[in-house]
Amino acid sequence: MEIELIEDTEGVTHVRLAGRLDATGADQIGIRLTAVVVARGQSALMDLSGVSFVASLGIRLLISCAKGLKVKGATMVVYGARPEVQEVFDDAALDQILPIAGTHAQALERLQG
Amino acid sequence: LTAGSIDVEAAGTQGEDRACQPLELHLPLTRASIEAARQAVLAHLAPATLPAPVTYNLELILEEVLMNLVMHAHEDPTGHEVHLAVHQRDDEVDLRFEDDGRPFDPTASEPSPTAGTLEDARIGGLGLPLLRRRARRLHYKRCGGRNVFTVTVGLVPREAKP
Repeated sequence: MEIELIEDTEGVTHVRLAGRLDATGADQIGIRLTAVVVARGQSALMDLSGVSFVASLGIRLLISCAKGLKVKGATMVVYGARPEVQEVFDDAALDQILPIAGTHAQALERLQG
Repeated sequence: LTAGSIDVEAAGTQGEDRACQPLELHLPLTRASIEAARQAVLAHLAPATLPAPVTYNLELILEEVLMNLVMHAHEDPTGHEVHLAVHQRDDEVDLRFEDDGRPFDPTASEPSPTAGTLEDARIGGLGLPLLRRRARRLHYKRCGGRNVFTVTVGLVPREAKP
């Protein structure tokens, strides 16, 4: 499981995740993701197009980051989920908890809107 | 796979028959066992050439059930095992999990209501609802001081659930 900080400009943190966001993956990146995204305290865009699998612990990590940012008055938007990953988000009704967008442009819109 | 034993048939059996034999795994209750189980189960079912959504489903269900056991079956799971039997028939497969943890009937607990907002969202409690949506059938019994939980998974892409 990998995290890449794509850019950190105009008050927005932009990261890309890649790999399997299962229990093992969530363990691997949990602390670092929190350090990169939540510690910055500014709104974040999270590109999930490289994530091939997500299970409940992965969703838990996303919610935990979004909650951490919310406390600081910032928003996290995830985007680019593959159809099989999006299906799990749908099953978990994740879109009721945090904004999910299709593309980077739509994600930016959600942040600005 | 270093943990546990895998019961495979004698060499020379045709691939098609192979998946009809049950796979039996004895896994220590650790997070590492999730990956071990995933690889063993997928290798076992490989002759069936499963569609990608079915593979995803199987992986998800294995992870949710095993993770639940690792986190909740015992105060300290060290030294405890889960026995996983995989039995394929026709267009479905039974994943039978047997453990000596505290009694827990995953079919009895109510699905947790959707959080609605980020403020209300609990960190956790997502695994069982996902499992319910992804499985064809769930069956639980407490037998001889052990939990026996069987999840039946369809081997064709799942039917849409409302």
